[in-house]
Amino acid sequence: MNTQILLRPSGNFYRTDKGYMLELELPGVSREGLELELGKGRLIVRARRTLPQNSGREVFRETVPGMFHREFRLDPAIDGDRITADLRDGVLSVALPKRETAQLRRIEVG
Amino acid sequence: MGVWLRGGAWIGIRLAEGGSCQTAPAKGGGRKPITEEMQMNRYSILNPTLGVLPWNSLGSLAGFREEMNRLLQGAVEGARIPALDFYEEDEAFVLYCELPGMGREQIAVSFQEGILSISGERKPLRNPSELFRAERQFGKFERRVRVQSAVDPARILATYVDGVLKVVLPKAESSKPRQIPVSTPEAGQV
Repeated sequence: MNTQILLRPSGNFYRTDKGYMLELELPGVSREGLELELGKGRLIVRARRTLPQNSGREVFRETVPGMFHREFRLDPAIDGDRITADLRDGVLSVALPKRETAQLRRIEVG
Repeated sequence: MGVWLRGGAWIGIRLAEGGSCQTAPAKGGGRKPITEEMQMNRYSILNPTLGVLPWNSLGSLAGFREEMNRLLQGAVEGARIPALDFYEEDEAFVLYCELPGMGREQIAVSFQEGILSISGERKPLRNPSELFRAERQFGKFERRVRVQSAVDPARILATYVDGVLKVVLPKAESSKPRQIPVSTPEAGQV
């Protein structure tokens, strides 16, 4: 496997009422091949495909062997502690909720 | 703290000190405030109408070489195509097609007269009105591959794992490589 080629996975970015949602295409990637890092205001996605073991002759090939790599700079309003991610069928969905604003407190007047 | 896996499909990501998750070094025990801004305004939606781009579908086929040429043209034009890898083994042909984010029932695989056809429609899961940057492509797609040697259609198997469709087409007995013994002719034979 050639680990020197870096592939930039396609992503869709959504704004939701809770913050943001990110969908990244990572075909052939299972949980073991996925690394997510958060720090310095960036979300870094690295993923390695589970390549098939083939004993056969390659007739044609359109996929590019390599590692997926992409970094995102995050809105400072995003609450890093509550970021969650779901990997399903080669799509990584990352929910990036914003920090809940301080609730207004009722002050009783006695 | 650390990266933890919850039972089921969700992966929780938490800031950690060392371990497998790198973070900005904490000062005074607190988390360093995030000061960079998400560069949303610089991103533009690729398709202004809906932000979704349809695949070009390659309908006709004439063989591998023409398929390749069409693909290369597609790549130059910037059209995305569900990527295919095709291998030939002694016992079978194996095809891989990258189709992340599809449900199994949304992919149609059919084989007729030596032509393997993969088609379907990828629909967005989320409300497109919430989209502010689109790179993924949706819509109908169809890929066809002509399989040069005879296969046994009844034993074709298709599986979908981690967003990759794998189709195994076992060769018919007549297509498998056969060793032909070389013998010396009997007296009188040619």
